[in-house]
Amino acid sequence: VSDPIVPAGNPGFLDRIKGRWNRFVNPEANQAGSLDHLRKLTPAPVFWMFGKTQSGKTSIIHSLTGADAAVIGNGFRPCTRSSRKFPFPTEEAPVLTFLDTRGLGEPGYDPAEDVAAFDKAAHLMIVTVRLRDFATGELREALAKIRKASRPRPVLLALTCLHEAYPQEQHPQPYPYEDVETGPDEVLKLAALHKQDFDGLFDRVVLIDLTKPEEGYEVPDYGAAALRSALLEMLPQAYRETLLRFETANDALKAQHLERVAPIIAGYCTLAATAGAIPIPGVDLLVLPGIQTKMIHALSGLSGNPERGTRFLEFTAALGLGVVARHAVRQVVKFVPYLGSAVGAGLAYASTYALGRAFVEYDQEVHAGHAPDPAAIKRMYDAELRQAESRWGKRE
Amino acid sequence: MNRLRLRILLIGIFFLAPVAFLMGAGAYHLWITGWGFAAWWPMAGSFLLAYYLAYRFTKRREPKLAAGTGTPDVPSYWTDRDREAWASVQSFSEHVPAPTTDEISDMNRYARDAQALAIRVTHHYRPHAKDPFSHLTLPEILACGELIAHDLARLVNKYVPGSHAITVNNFKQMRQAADWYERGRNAYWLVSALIDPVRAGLQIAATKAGLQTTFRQVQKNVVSWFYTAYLLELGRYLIELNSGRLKVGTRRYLELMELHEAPPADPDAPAGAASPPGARADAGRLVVAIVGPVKAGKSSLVNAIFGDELAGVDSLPLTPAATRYDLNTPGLQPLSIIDTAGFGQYGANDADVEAAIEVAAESDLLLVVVPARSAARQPEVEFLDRVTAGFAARPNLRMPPRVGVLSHIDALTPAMEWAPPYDWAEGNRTKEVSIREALIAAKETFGPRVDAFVPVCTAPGRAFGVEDGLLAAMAAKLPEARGVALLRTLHREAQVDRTKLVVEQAINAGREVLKAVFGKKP
Repeated sequence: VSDPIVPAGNPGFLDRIKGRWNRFVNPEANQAGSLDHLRKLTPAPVFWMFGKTQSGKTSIIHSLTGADAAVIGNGFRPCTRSSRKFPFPTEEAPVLTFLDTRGLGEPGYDPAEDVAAFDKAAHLMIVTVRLRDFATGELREALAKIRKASRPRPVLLALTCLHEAYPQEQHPQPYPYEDVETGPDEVLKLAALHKQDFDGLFDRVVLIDLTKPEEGYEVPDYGAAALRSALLEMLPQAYRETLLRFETANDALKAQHLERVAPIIAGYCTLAATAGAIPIPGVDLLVLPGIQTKMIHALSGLSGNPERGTRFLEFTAALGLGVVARHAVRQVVKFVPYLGSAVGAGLAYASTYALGRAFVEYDQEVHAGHAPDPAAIKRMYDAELRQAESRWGKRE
Repeated sequence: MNRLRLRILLIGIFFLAPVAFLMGAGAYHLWITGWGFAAWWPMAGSFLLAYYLAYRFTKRREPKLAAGTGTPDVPSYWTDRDREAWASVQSFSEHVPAPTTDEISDMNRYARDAQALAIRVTHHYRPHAKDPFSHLTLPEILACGELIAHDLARLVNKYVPGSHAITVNNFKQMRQAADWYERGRNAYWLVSALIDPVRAGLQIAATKAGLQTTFRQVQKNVVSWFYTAYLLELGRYLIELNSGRLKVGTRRYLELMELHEAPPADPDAPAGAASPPGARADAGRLVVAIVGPVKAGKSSLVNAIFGDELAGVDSLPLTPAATRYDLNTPGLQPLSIIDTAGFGQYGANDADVEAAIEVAAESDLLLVVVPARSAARQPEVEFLDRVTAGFAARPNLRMPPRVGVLSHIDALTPAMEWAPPYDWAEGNRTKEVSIREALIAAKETFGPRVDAFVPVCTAPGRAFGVEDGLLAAMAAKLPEARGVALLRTLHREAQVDRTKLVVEQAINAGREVLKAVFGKKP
């Protein structure tokens, strides 16, 4: 929602006063601006996926996010002329963002435009190459140009589709490529050849084989653990934490069979944590209700009943859930430097998480035809809040 | 010879004499009994029907008629430019007015149309040429004339009965005979009219209305059929002339054509003898080039075709340059298979791409090996586009047919499974569906750049689709490949001959000069 009265041409003095007033009485407009700002502040990792089609980019995204191939495919939107991006789980509150260079397969691809667009945004480059694909000349040419333009960004070389080196055989167990160079000769020989080809173009190499269940492998996510630890080691500290927190929230919700909503709740929690961490009292007062409202709308949209979200918000307002409950405490804490931001962030994170979880409970009750019991929802909210807070504390 | 003719004549006379007598006696009897008038009508009707059918059967003046009578259908080796020129020849032959019976023996008429047709054909090859012959060499034109004469002679021998004995005088006498027949018939009418004016008048009217017109129509059809055949024949050789294929001379041209139509089958050369790279196959062997990205399975394909370890298959890209292998399969024309170095390891402009393009430009059939699992096919598409552009720049050659080989199908979903045979065209097993989908995707990506795709697995011990699938697809493309080879041979020999000839002529001229200077043989 933008300012309702913005006359064309040069705004006069009165108009400017009016604009200020409108923004003051219309917090939505205010929040939108802040949310944008928050998104920029949130240390959400951005991965630059770089590889030919079918070299395993989607499987890596799937392995990191848990999203289906179809969701990933539909989630991508055009970014530059030769690239696209996939903000996960939503564009509004992304935890992870993936950039994909589509132009790579086209003749005469010049990465200059992508470098200009991604240079500041992307934290890590994941170069995917199928183990048996040696037609990598053009890929390396483009990579060398990007590398030259911005040397400090780490590059992870992911060699994929290992099974093509040992057709119709199961993967060697346990995963042998962790640090010692052992494993089937054929794989090691091909990997060495790739390392030689990509010499000076990567910082780390990881061997993975993420296959669909129908391929018939006993371990469909072969090397996923090695990939994850490589990524965590290569990411800057703050981004690493975001990734870990996202995983924790995701895992907690997955344990309750809530895979579908998990990433969305985790995404808004991350955003809320960023808002809570801003060490100025009162900033989050305006922003947090907005984030939580948006989360509820996103969740109710996902369940197919947008109006259910609105009813839930009225329901919670009556119960005093959400940010309002511990608001006073948080504002006091914020005056203490360092500690303040951490506790503020933890609270913002935990309350958002608990509210999301409570909505899911509410939604399920309504869906089953029951009238939600306010006391039960309140109990659940409190329990989830405590758990989330304790999880946050462990990470500190 | 004359004695033989006399004997045949005698036998003929004695054989036909009773029939002639019966004819006369019968006619006399009909006249005596007065049945003549009644009997005349069915006879006239029968004649009319015969003429009408002759007219119907000879009426179609389509190229088909001519094609079936000595001028073969468009030769398979013709290039696109040749085909365009041929379409122009056909439209000319359809639109030129058919000559009258008098014009058929008028040489000027032939010359005039030949000139017009020659200009027309020449413009397809040299759009700015003012006259049809100035850019051609004398031997070429002579060869063209010789070949047309050769073919027309064959045509006439085959379709004009007794033509081997007909001289030009005979031809003129035959026309006179036709005139005499006309005169004789008029005399008959005159006599009949004196005897029975009413009946004769009726008969004359019927003959003039029915029989005569139909007879003239038949005559016209035959003339125009002959003329169309002549024009198409002429057009065909004008195309051969303008495309430079007659430069090798009549004899060599006919030799190569014969070889093209009936290729030598399976000489007992040892199979799979590797020759040094760069050596082109000897005449009569077709050259099959295997191209594709690095590690696509080209060398293992060679191994699978030959059935034993030949190319030293290793998982490292070993092949340094192109290697040639000779393949002799019973029932198949002997082939030379050239295994090229895979491209793409060093970018789009690397030396491997150039080398592969060079090999492709010299081959008669291209096997484009594409890994089934790879979706990034831009380098291969670009490669084929470059080869196509190379051939577009040399319109007297033809682009070799392309057979796509979808390799590594064992890696398709489910990757763990390999239980051939797979019925990928119809089957419903997951692997079969995967193969089918991979084929569709490959066809979409390559479009007309590749004529047909064959899925294969070439891994040792797991070979599938090579003998029944790939070799069959290659065999289907062999006629086209032979055409490509023919054009290449004609083109190359013409170049070589020309150089050789100039050198020989120079030596001869030098000898003459020496002779003149020293006054004796050097």
